[in-house]
Parts: sequence; structure tokens; C-alpha cells
Amino acid sequence: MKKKEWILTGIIVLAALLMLAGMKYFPRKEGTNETAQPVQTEDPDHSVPMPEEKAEGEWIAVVNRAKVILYFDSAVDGEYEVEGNVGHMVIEVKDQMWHVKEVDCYDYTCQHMGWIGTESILPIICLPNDIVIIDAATASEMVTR
Amino acid sequence: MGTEKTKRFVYLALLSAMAIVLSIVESVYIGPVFYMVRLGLANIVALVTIRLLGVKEMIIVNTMRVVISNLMRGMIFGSTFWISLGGVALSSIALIILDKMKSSLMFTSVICSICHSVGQVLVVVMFYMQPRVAAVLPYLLLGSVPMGFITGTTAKLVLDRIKPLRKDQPE
Repeated sequence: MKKKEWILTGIIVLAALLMLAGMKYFPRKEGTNETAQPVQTEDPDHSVPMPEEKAEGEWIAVVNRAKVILYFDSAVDGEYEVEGNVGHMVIEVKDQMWHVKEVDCYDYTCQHMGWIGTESILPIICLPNDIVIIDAATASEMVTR
Repeated sequence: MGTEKTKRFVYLALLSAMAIVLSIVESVYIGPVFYMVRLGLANIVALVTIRLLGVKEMIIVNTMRVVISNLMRGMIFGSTFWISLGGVALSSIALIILDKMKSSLMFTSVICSICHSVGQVLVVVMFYMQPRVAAVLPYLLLGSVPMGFITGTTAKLVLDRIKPLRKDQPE
């Protein structure tokens, strides 16, 4: 590799490190949510309505095919099962964190993402199932009603 | 002249088959090395193809790899197909530009690896209208650099052993 190329590679690594530091030291502001019981859809053609009661933690939405199919409270421990494009997915919530416990797909990236909390930057995404697990405020921006 | 053409066709067929097999093996059996970063074994074939045969052949190999490997896994035109197409398209563009600039093989490999990740993230951001997914970019950039070195070293080992058919061989 030429000297210029080494420098350019160094700049890219440095930029990535700076971005990581920026994300760590300047975390996004938490949104305030209203409403405690999980709400799950019976009708796959429409999003479930946002719960009106105030959550103990934060309302987290499970989005499939641009529809919210489940809202759960991040502060209430439990297990929820949802259906995606390929098969079912089991989401476990514990100690204000959630993760994909079981999933029917060929990729398992969502399962490998591990435990996610309200502080986490990335939402859990399962591409084969077309499922995104994200805070309710952001979910409302990405769904079609 | 006829032998030369046949040789190119045979090379193209072999390289395409290798890229498809590596792509399937990596997605089914190997998976991410850490977090979401994959090795990018099929990128080795793209690097070897552009150095051995040329730009046109590299585009053919990359297109065949995305279309056929997704077709064989039953995911053609699904979200993963468009994501891999996004990654391959951007890395192919980078490969062509760096080839014209006569960059070293290792640097080309690193930049292609980075562009592959960036292309995939761009498609995910558009697919899910979710710009926050772009937050994964720093992790992917950091992971892509060592992966680029690994694929570049492997491609160099291969190219040291095969005589290129390309006339204007860069560096």
C-alpha cells in the first residue's frame, strides 16, 4: 500500500472512532411516552392503536410490514410472540431490556444483536421477517395506518 | 485469438461459480464475524476478476453472484436481495474507480469492503425509512478495514499464482 493510501485508511478509522465517541458521549434525548398492558393486533392489515395509559418505562413498538403489531412496556418483564414474514419471533423483556429469544429465520442477526434498552442507539431489526423493534415515538413515523 | 476467448469464458464461468458458492457458504455457514460484520469472501473473487479479466467481467461476476445466490436461497427480490445488491453496486463502483486510479490491491480491497457496508446501510435506511440505522456505520467501518485486509491478502495470494489475461494490468 502507498503512503497516501495508508493515510486515507487512517482517516477513515479515525472518523469511525470519532463517530463512536460522539454517539457514546452525546446520546440521543429520551422521548416521553404515555401509557401498561401490552397491546397486540388481531388484524394484520391495521396498526394497533397506541395505548392510552402511561407506561412504567417506555412504550416499545414491534413493526411488521410498516404496521405496528405489538406495543409492550419496557419496564414490565415478559415474553411476547409475534408473527413475521418467515415465521414466529419470541421477544423477552427483562430489567428494562429486551432481546429476541427465538426466531424462525435463516439469518439470526436479530438474535445475535443481544439485549437492547432505551439507551441503545440501534433498534432490533429482523430483515427476513421484516420486523423492527423500536420506541413507539419513532415507530409512529415509519408506519402506515 | 479463439483460444484466448475460450480461456476468458472458462475463467469467467469458474470465477462466477466460486463467487456464488462463497456467497452462499458465508451467509449460511459462517455468519457475522462480530456484530454485523461479515468476512466478505465473495469480494475476493471480485478483486481477482477485475485484476485477471477486467471491469466488464467483474460486473458480470458480481451481478451473477447477487442474483443467483439469492435465487438459490429463495430470497430473490426480497429485502436481503436489495440490500446485497446495494452493497455490491457501491463496492463495484469503488472497484472500477480505484482500478482506473491504479490503486494498490490492499487499498482497493479495504475501500471495497467499506463501500459494501455503506451501500447495504443506505438501502436499509431507505427500505425502513429509518435513518437511525445509520448509527451502525462506525462499527461497520471499523470492522470493514480488517476484513478488507484479509480479503486483499487472500486475493494477492491468488493473483501471485495466476497469470492475468488482462492486457493493461495495474500495479
